[in-house]
Amino acid sequence: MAWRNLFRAPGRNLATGGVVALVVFLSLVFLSLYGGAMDAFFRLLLERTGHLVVRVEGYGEKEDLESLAFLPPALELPPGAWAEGVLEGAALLIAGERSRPVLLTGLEAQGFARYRAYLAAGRLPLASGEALLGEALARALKVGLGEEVVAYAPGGMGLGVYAFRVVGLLDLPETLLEARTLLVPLEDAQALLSPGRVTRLEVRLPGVGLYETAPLEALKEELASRLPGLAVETWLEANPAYAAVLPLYDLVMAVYVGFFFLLGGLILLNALYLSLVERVREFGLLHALGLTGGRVVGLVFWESLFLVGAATLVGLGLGLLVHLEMADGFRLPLPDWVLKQYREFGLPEVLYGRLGAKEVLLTLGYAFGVALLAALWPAWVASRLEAVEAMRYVP
Amino acid sequence: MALIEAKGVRKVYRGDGVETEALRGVDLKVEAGEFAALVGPSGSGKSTLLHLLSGLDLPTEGEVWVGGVAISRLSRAQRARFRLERMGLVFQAYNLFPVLTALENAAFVLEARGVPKAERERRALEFLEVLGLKEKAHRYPRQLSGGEQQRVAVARALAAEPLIVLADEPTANLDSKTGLALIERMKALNRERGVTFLFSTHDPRLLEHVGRVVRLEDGRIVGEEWR
Repeated sequence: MAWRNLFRAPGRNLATGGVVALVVFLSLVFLSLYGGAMDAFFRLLLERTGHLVVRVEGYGEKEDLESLAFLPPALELPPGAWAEGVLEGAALLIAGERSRPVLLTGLEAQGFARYRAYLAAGRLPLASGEALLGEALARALKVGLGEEVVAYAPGGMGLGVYAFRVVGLLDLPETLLEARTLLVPLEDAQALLSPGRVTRLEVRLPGVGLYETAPLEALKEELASRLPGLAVETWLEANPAYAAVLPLYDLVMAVYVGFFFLLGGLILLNALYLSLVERVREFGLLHALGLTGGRVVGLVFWESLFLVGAATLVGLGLGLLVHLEMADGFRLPLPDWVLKQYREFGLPEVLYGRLGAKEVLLTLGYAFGVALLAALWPAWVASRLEAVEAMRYVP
Repeated sequence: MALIEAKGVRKVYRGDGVETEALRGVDLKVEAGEFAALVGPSGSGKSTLLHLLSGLDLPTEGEVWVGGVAISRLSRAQRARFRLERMGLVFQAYNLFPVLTALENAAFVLEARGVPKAERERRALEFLEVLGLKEKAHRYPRQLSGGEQQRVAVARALAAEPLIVLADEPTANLDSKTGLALIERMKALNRERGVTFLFSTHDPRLLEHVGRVVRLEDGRIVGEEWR
């Protein structure tokens, strides 16, 4: 009977089911998109930082290069893993009569390769004495490709001065950063600032996923015990400001889905309640014929649950289909001016939808939670009606 | 002991600060096998008395006994179960379930009791046949006339083989010919199967067919006739 009652008002039930299906569908699509965007953001961070970072202990409080630079120890790493040395220090970059303070970064060949996507002109350095400049810095110094610049950093353990030829220009996400960026080969940076030393070692572990913490923690502990005076951090620990965003992931997801389902739930409750009000006489009749309140609740409950269940399955099916499309990669359907802002954060325009069991279960949980509420409340109201009053009821 | 007994039953409705005394101390006994009618003008208390006798409502004072059970002392759920197991109810407005066929409507009480499908359909079909509706057993209420719908409602009440059938103005929405035909069929069931009927009506032509007439006025029984 509960099943057949679904077909009594097909228009209204279709609209009610449509709302549920739409909410489930949009939630899954949103969560897939949201997961993809979060992945892109954190992948970028991981790529910049490396899985593990080795620096001197208490590096946050130390300011001078002498305290921050250290001789890179030989690391015992799992097969396939490698460590890249990076040396960062302040310098003055001079071109002709112009000069600018810069953050000089010495990189190994793999480190340069990660800047390929930002290369606006020229090429990556291939030999000693070649440098990459931020476009804004090059503009400020009025230098172009093939021209020479001189880095000046006196007072350290290195030469204190080093000449570079500009071989590439970088278009970086932040203009301020671009105006201070000078990338040079590691050995040149060491010769200039601190021979043989680095300010950090980036340990990269191919095959370790974005949110796989166990292998990172294990290697971190192992390395930390063998590297006295050095601190080993995971990529999230090394980026505390960004790491703070990660716990918000679940919260934002839950708030969004909760809000959406609250709206959907109110529409659903309203639709179910209206359909029940029209049937008050019928509930009175059920009670008069001998059905107890519990059985009337059961009837209404199953009726509502059938409706919401079927609609949820439709929404789930459609949502998963769209997600599968998105998982293959999709370009954000946003206007150019929004995409420009988006690019400023260094995020890729092509995202890959991600939907885990958690997100699907969360959506289904909300859908059935709302369905239970939407079904139980009117069913309870129906069960409280006095048969005599209900049978006299005129809607 | 009588099948139904109302002892000193009073019913007062309270609403918006106004008290309306619908029944003013009614004593009534109905024996098993009777075919009795409650008559009286509108507002005389016929429907109220039937509601109390069927346990759909509780008296303000007095007691109602049915089949040796003081139903006025039962809880709401217990009264519902009692109606399901022991009573057949027929209402003025047919009150069929629109999503069920005539056969399913007639078998509804049996289904609620948990009678297996084949058995309940056999019994429901038997009463639909007695009431001349076997050929229309698989039609939905909207495909039946008013008289046919009311006969389905009677079949629903009878298929469960209750102690008594209580009917509130069962012919009120039927034309006189159809109403009379329904009462004749009910009478035949009373005569042939011994089903006890108590129904309310204000149609004097139907009274020729009943064995007993109970007259109500202003919430009191003012006369009884046995025929």
